[in-house]
Formats: sequence, structure tokens, C-alpha cells
Amino acid sequence: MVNFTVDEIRALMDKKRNIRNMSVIAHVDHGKSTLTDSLVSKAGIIAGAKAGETRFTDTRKDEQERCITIKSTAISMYFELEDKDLAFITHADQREKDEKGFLINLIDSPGHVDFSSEVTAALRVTDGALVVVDCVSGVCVQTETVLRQAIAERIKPILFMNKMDRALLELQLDAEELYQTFQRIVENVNVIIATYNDDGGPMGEVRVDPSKGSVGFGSGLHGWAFTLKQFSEMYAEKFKIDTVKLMNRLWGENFFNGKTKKWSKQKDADNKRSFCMYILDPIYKVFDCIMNYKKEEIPVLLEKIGVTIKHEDKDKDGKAMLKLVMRTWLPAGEALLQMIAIHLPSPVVAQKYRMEMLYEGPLDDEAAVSVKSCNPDGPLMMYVSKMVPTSDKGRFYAFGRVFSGKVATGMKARIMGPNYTPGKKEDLYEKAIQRTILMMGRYVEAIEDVPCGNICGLVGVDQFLVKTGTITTFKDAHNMKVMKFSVSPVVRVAVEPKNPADLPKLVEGLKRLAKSDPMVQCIIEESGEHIIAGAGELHLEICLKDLEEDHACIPLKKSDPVVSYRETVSDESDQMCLSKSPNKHNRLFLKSCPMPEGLPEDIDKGDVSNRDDFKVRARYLAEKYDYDVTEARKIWCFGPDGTGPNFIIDCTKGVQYLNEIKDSVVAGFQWATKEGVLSEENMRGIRFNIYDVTLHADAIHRGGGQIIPTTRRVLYASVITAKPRLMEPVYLCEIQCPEVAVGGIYGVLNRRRGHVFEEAQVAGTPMFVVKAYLPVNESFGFTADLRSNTGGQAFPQCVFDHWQIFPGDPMETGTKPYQIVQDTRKRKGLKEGLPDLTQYLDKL
Amino acid sequence: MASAFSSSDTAALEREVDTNSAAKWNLENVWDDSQKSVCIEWVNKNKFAKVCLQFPDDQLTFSTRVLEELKSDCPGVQFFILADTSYGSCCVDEIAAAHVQADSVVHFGNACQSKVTRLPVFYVFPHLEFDCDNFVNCISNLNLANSNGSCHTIDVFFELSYQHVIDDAHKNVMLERLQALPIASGRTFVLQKYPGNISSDQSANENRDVCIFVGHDDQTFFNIGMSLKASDWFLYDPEQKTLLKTDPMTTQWVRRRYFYISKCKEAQTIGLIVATLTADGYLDVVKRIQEMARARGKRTYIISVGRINPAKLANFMEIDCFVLIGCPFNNIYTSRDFYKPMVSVFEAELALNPAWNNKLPETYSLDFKDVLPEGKQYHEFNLADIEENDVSLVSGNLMRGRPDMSIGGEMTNGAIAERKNYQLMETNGGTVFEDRSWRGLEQNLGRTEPAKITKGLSGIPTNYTHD
Repeated sequence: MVNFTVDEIRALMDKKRNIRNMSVIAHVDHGKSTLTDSLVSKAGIIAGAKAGETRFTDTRKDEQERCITIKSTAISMYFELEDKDLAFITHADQREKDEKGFLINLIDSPGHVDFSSEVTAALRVTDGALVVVDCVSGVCVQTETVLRQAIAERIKPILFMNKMDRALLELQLDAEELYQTFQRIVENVNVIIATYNDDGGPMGEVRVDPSKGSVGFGSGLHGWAFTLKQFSEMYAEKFKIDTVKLMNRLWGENFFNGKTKKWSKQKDADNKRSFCMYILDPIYKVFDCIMNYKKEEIPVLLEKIGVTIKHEDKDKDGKAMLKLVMRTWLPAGEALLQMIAIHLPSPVVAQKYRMEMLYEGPLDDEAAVSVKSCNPDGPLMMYVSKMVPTSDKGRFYAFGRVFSGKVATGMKARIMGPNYTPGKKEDLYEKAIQRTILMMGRYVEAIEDVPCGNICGLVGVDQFLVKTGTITTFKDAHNMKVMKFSVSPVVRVAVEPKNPADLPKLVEGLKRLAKSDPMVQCIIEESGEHIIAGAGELHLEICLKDLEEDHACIPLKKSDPVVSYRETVSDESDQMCLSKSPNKHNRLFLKSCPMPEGLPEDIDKGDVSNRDDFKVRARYLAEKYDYDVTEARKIWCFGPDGTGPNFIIDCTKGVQYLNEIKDSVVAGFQWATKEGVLSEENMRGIRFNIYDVTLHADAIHRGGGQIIPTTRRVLYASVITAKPRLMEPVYLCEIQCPEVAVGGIYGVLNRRRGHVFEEAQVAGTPMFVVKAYLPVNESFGFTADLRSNTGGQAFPQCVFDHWQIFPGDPMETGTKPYQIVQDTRKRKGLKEGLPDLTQYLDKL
Repeated sequence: MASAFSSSDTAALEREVDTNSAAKWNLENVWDDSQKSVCIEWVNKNKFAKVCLQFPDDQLTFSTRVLEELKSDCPGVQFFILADTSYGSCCVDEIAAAHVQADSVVHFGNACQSKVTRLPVFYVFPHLEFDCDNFVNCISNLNLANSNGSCHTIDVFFELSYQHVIDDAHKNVMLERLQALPIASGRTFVLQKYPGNISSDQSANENRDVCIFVGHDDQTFFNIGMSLKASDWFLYDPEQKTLLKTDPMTTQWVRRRYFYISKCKEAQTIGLIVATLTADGYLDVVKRIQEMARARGKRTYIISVGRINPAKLANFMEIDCFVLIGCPFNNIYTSRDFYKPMVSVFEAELALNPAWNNKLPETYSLDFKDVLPEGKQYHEFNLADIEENDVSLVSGNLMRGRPDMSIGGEMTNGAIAERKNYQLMETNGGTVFEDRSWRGLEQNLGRTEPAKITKGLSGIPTNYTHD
């Protein structure tokens, strides 16, 4: 631990080239927090003497109890590189001249898929990512998800193979097998990186490579780690060879023959893989000596590797001894911090290529230029990525990254929420920043100001932002882009206070909960139900617990989790649908049909959006989905909410006054797509074609009042006549288990309408990975069910994957979708039964 | 022949009238001998010369029969039939009565009994069948064991259609029967009419012990249940012949209202619909809501559209929420056909007055005069209490509590702006139009051919021969 005063930390913040902002990301239980601990204990900046607590970054009580990270937590570290190591930093913007010290801002993020939104928020404010992979289980679904997100945000990854102790002690892999395991993980990671990153792109080559030192190996639990650099340095003198050259020799197809002292590119009888020979063999020997109690060999070995042990520790044996020896020999902090300082980008380097991904405005305005050059004297640009609860109930620190300029206590700044558009007043506040603070794990420390390239917290901003926002001093600044989450809030519960009089407290609590979590949605539905929507069961469980204990502080009644559905169509309308306006003088002729497969997802992803130039969009639709170009150019709007996966196309020919009713049709379309005809759920994947319109000659008789309700009716009619279907959300579910348990998994999945699409053994281990699709609706209690059917050996990770049509006709009594529609209607307080076509369809 | 200023005859003939509810009524329910005699006596005694008979749509079919009978018994009196009331048929349509210079009104059907200032009114309530034996039987089985607190009085409220059960002739009989029950030992029954003058021996805010409502689980029940505080509510449904314990505070109806209140809180533009014929004090209410809305930076528009329907209100696309200033018994609150939500005056008060922040009213107020000074739900409106902003649970966005004057001078609303394009003022309402694709006629000078003047259309649209 390093003890600094705030002034000393402040001085470090100015050396922007020596700053590294990084997140630690991984699959759940791959050992992020434990690994972070070993870094913090080595280099954590602590104001005060709170060192030595474990899981430093797990600040909440339930995090400590469950041993699972729920919220991401930032921690600052200070580390000095030696001169010989500084030589590895070649880029001029990666270090200040004559400065050895590095300020590392690390964010430990949760690994469980349900909390992916925390990862997204962490990635936004960092430039590099330490990807931790358990070398026993390999690359898992969440590793891939977070890595993909990191690349998309232009975050440079480095890799750490964790839990090597398990590979050696439990699996007893031999050296060559272990090498193959490592090799495979590196390849897997690089495949993912290559899929989402273009080597010729602005980030350049981001592949991880052990021979370059961007891959670390070790055990977070035991506190030891190394990269090839450490071992090369040990051998460099002995072999009289340059460290960098040796690093290349120590990985890949390089073999050394001990007798002939010759290197070779191929394996033969006498030679041995250099990685195994020079790196793994010594480690294996240490393990063997200590774990098999070869007491007399230990001192010899220790001398060889240059480890001296204090007298009082001499009596230790077994695991305790092993830990001590390994930790002294290959201290984890040293290796990892070197890796971070050398391979991760400084804000100066990173903001150059990240700016265009971060800023919504013109890429040459003052704010953009200043962000790009990481200019502390430019206008302030700060992105608030999440809110952190304070000890004062209901108040939050706004946590974020300064990208340009300086943010200071007491300065006046513009606070812009996600709905702000330049030139308008919506979602804009001009307020003084009450206080700027440093956030270090559980502790905060006031600081005068914070320059660009750093992460900090603000006091007093929380009242003006819900979850995220941009803070600037530049009058014409646009927003920083909002974050895109990899998970969706598809699981919902309705809550109500046990005592009806407590309702205002519940409402207040929900507002606080909405702030404290980057993704949770707290909504009042039209039926008056208070709904909390989250990514999964665990996420909801935590949210409900927080709500009950911290935010609302009242006993709650919770409904069973419910899934939100979508309404879609499976065919084109079987007739031309006509609806007349209330005054019978306006007629709309319309049909609906399903969108081609893949298009709704494209709209979700933003590949096709309301913001595109209509010509570009039309060309895209024509090329990819065979749409008629002239029609595709006439998409009036997307919906619901102006962006959703449905659109309405003008297919009319020469209709007078059509432009005039467009706004009314759009309004009716937004209304109808938000509240579908079957059960008032959102619509999805429907294309509406307007074929003809007859309008009254007088403007007053074709106003919104006539057109909006009519549009809604005709859209409903066209859906009813186009074989409506329900869509349900489906999880991608990854389950790891030993072979014996695979049978049990199939049984559980079958009962829950799930199906397995991939089953494979993790090479080098007895573990199997089963991948399956599982309807979210069937996933409640899945984890417990799976455990009881596999003797507790299977552990699933479920992440929302796609929407899928629920088989069966919701318009036919007795089918499952019919039942769902009725249940939903009942819950929402609607009239039960089926929508009546004659209510919406008129005769000519 | 249809003239240019009235609808064509066929339009009126083709208009569809909702016939479902008519089946519920027959002549005996609406107009029986006892009502007839009382009514005739009232007309003759007061020596009215012009009497209007006001019918709701679903009882209009009996109007001629009633008229004939009255005519024969009240010689020399002119009778007029009023129907198609502008707002709700529960209110007395004084305006329509004034058209014929009537000196009194006989009101049929469901009535809200709002205060009528101009004319004497005689109410004829429908009589629905009521099974006294069953009712007494149900009451005797009433389980008060698990009700909160001690119970000394049992208030029984009768809905309009069942008030004949406790009219002067029958009230004591019923009361005696009830008091004779074993459950009545140590307790007293109080029989009352609702809507009507609720006995004021207890002040309105005081807790009542047990209340029983005779009627249906509808808005009327909600109205009484919300406006009177009682430790327990029971609902006796004479049609189903069931007596059930119900809590009006948790009915779905209330929860839904809460959603609309949130919507109103979030609205940027509020439309005040003046939909009252008789009630006085509405101008004060309008003023009050306008004042509160202005303090929160919301715009208000006053709208008077006669009979309210979805098509008329949807013409005001920029309005986010409507406040209906009118009779609380109006049933349009519950309709889901409206494009934008509609709240009552009291609900608007809950949404806009910071005194109601984080508070739930213990009782609901129906009369909009209650929110005015001296009303029982009056809370002073204090500008300084308005929270600066708040998270909306409807949209998930932040709502501004009050207009922020701190932001850059040139953007302040209503301020004289720089002379760009000869524009003097910038208004908030104007920003709505910016988002529209159609902003009215554009001149397109030099790009469109000059057109010749042609003869336009005339008359009202239902007269047009084309579409």
C-alpha cells in the first residue's frame, strides 16, 4: 500500500501520459476481485490505514457475504517502473519524460451476466481492460460478451490466465497439456478480438500475445503471477541474449535441445518446448517439492530461484508454504502492474481514437478537438457513467471520467441528460459543482479539481441526472454518446407496499433505485402497477433487496416474476384493411406484414435507425432484405418511441394532403405499436404499408382528432388479419458441468422448453460445456432445479439472446399464447377475451 | 330539406346509439305510480308553466310515455323533453332548459345532484328491484370479528337506484328489521342515500366504523369509498346478492388513477377542459391550476368543447394531459379511448401542489371546490416548496420541477430575443411544432405554379356529396 496525501495524488493526475484507466473484466468466478486484491495490496493508494482487508473492491455487505461482485468499484493505485522496464514503453504519448510513477485507476466489475450493465458503465470510463480467464474453464460466455463490448468501445485488452494453482494441484496437468490449454485460450480470445476489431482500424492491432508480454499467468488466490518478460529477464543474463528476443523464443513452436544447445522450430525426441522447459518446469518443481514434503530439496530449490524465507515462516508447509514461496518468487502485483503500465494505453493515446465513438456532435468542434487531444486547458467534457450511493440516503455521487478540461469544486457547468439536444432546454441544467471527490473503494476524499484523463466523483449533480449524462462548460457542446447495454431488462416483478399507506415511500424508493443501478427500469404501468424490470432473477433479487432495505425501507409485496412479451404478425394481412375516421370522411387503407428475419435485430442494434440518411438506409434495406428501394425510402417512422423495431411505409401513389396527416399517422402509429392489440404489449418486427388514403378536403376535418384514433384502429385491424403471434424473450444459457451431469441438464431443459444446440468438452479438462436456448419465461427457478438434478454440479449463466415466436395462435382459445394474452390482459385490468376485428375494421 | 347550417336528416337517423344498456331499464323501474304522483304534485303545487324533462340516453325511449302521462295530469303546463346532454347526463342541463325559458326541470336517471343555481329541479330516480330479505340475511351474517377497532355504528349507503328502499315510507321498517338482528346489539344502524346529503353528525374527516354500500363495484362506489374514511367497507350488490369486504384504497381503479396523476406531473402542457354547466367556482379552480402550472413551467390551455369525445381532444396534439373541470360522476375518466390521459381537479391538485408531495390523501375529494381556500382538502400552494426536479416513473426521465431561469440568457422563454428572422419571442409551445413535419402551408415562392381562383366548398361537411 502506498500512502499519499491528496495533494500528491493531485500532482500525479496532471501527468496524463502516466495515467492508466482500466477495468477488470471476466466471467463470473474467474477471480477478478481476488486478483484485484493482490494489486491493491501492492500499490493501492490509501488515505488512512485501512489496508489488508480482503475483497477490497466489494464494498457492500451482501457482496462480501455472497462472494460475488454486484457493483463496480474504482480504486486508484500508484506504481513505479524501473528504468529497464521503462525501455519497453516506446510510444511517446505513453509516458512523461523523466517520470517513473504511474497512476492506475482500476475498476473492478461484476462477472455475473445479470450485472453486465455495470461492466458497460466501467468500460466507458476506462481505456484498457484486464481480461481474466480461469485457465481451467477457459473462455466462457460472459468472457466473450464483455470482451466484445470492450472492443466495441475501443478498449484495449490484455489477458490474464488465472487459477494456475488449480490446474496444477487439482487437474494435475502435465506441462505440455498446460501449454496447450494456455495456447487455446489465447487463440480463443484472439478469435473474438479479430471478429470485432479490424487490425487496420483506428485502434490498430489489439491481439494479445504472450511473447510480447501482454498475457499474464498465475494465481490470484495465491498472489503470484508472471509474464514471459519476468522469466526472460531471469534467463537473459545466463544466455547472454536480449530480453525481448528471448521472450519471442519462450512461446509458441520453439524447442530447445539441452544436449546440443540448439533451438529448433520442431518437436523431436530430444528437445523440449521452451515454455515448458524454462517456465513451467521450475514452477512444477516448486509445487512438487513443497506439496510432496520433500523437505531437504526445498532449501536448494529456494536458493536457485533466489527466494529467501524469514525464519519464523520456515515451519510452514503444504499450501501455506507454497503460497509464501510463490508469492515471494513471482509477486503478482509486480507482473500485473508492469503489464498494465506497458501495454495499456494512456488517456492521451486512447482518446485520440476513442473520441469519434464517444462524441455525438461534429467531430471538429471545440469539444471534440479537446477530447481528442486530451487537453486539460480545453472546455470541460465529462461523462457520468453511473451513480454511487452515498451514506446520505437518497443522495448519490455522480461517477465518471473527465475527457477534456478540468472539473473543479464550485465551478459552474452545464449538466446535460441523455435527452438533451443542442439549442433546446430539455434535460439541461446549469449548476455549480458542489464538490469534486476522489473515489477509492469504500472511501472518498475531497479534491480541489480533477484534470482530463482521470476518473472522479461529483457531489450535487445527482439531482439533475437520472443515471448518466454529460457535464461540460462548452455552450455548444453535444452529448457524449449514451451507453449501449448488452443485456435487456426482460424480467419484471410488480411490487406494492404491504401497507397501502406506504405507497409514497415506495415511489420515492423506486426513484432512488432507478438511479443507483445503470440498467434497472422502475416504471408505473397504465394499470397502476409498479414494475421493476431487470436482466435476470439475481439482478431483480438484489434490486428488490436494495429497495426494501435501503431505498424505500418498508415491507413490500412482490409478484412472481413475469416476462414481457412482444406482439408480431406471421403473415401479410389477408385483406386490405380499411378504417374510417370518427366523422366517416377520412379513410385509411393499410396492410401489415412481418419484417424479414434479422431486420428487427438490425434496428435494435442501430444498424438501421431513424437517424440514418433515408437514401443510405433504403440502399441497405434493398441490398440486405430485398426491399423495393422507392418504398424503402418512404419509411415514415420507427416505433414505438420513434426508434423501435416496427415501421410504417408510405406506399400510396399521388394522395393529396398526405404530408399534412403524416404527423397524426405517426402519432397513432407510436400509440399502437406501444400498446399492441392483443394484450397492450409492444409490437415487434411488423412492417405497415399504407396503400391508400382518402381525406376530407377541409383541413379541419382531417386533423389529429380524426386521424390519430383511425390510424390506431387500422393498424390493429391489419395486425388481427395478419395471423398475429406472440414473441417471447429467450436466454442463451451456458452450463458447465462434469460429464455425469450432462444427462440431468437435458432433462431439466426439456421440461422447460429449452433446447441444446452445442455440447462440447473443454479440452484438457473433464468439464463439459452445454449451450442451450431457454425461454426466459421458463427460467425462473432454473438454477435451483438444475442444481438439484445434477447434484449441485451444474451452474448456468443465462443472458438474453433473442426474441422468438411463441408457437401457437393467440387468437385460438385453449392455446398457450391465448392463455398468456388473457393473463396479461387480466393483470393490466383490460377486458378479458379476444380483440374484436369488427371494432377496428370498417366497410367501404 | 337539410339546410346548410344543420346536419342532414339522414345523419341523425343513421347515428348509432349504444343500445346495450337500455335493456337494463323498463318503464316500471324508471317511472312508477308513486313517483308519478309525487312528481305531478310537485309541478302542480309550484304552479310551473314550462317544465323540462331531462332523460339520459338509455332512458330516452320512455320519454314519450312519461310526457303523455304528465300532460294529462297537469293541464296547462308545457312539457319539453331534453336529451343528449352536453357533458354528463347526471348533471342538470340548465342551459338547454334556458333555451325554452323553462321554469323547472324534472331530471330522470342517475344524478350527481350538483348544486343547481338557476332552476328548481325535481329528481326522479330509477327504482331497481331489491330483495330486502336477502339483504337483511346478508347483514346478519356479517363478520365483524376481524375488523379493525371497535364498531358502534354501521352506516349503510344506498345507491340512487335503491334509494326507494329507504324512502320515508320504508325507512323505519328497514331500520327496525336491522336493529332486531343479533349483530345490532350495542350497535346502531344509520341508513343514508348516496349521492345525497351525508349525515353531518360526524365531521367528514372523522373515522367511520363500518360502512356498507348498496350498489355495484363501480365509480360510484369508488367515489363514496374514497371520500369517506371508514375502518371497513362492505359492498352489497343487490343483483348478485352478495356482501363482500372491499378496500376502496387498493382497488385497481385507484392504482390506475395514480398512474394518471404521475402522467399529469410529467406533462409539459395541460389542457383545462371546462365541462360544467352549473357548478359555480370553476373560474377560481381554473385560476388555481393555472397558477400552479405556471410555477412549474407548464403551459395551460383552457378548452371548452361541448360534449367531450376522443376525436375532439385528439385535435390538441400538443397537450400532454387534460384536467376535467366538471362533474365527478362523469364516466369519461375511465375510458381508454382517449389519446391523452384525463384527470379530475383533485388529481391535478395532487400532481401539481407540492404540499401533496410524498403524501397520499386519506380520502379523495370529488367536489372541485374542496381544493379552493376554505375547502376541506385545501392546502396552501407554496412556490418555494416545489422540488427542483424529480425522476418520472412513467418515462424514466428527469422532470423539471420549476422552470430553470439560469440557463443562457438568449434561451429564456418569453424574453425578447435577438432579431433573427424578424422573430421576437420564443415560446415553449412553439417547440412542439418544430418536431412536426407539416407546419401548415408553405409559400414555396417561385417554385409552385400560380393557381387560378376556383369556387370553394360551402356548408358543413356532412352535406358534401363527395368524400
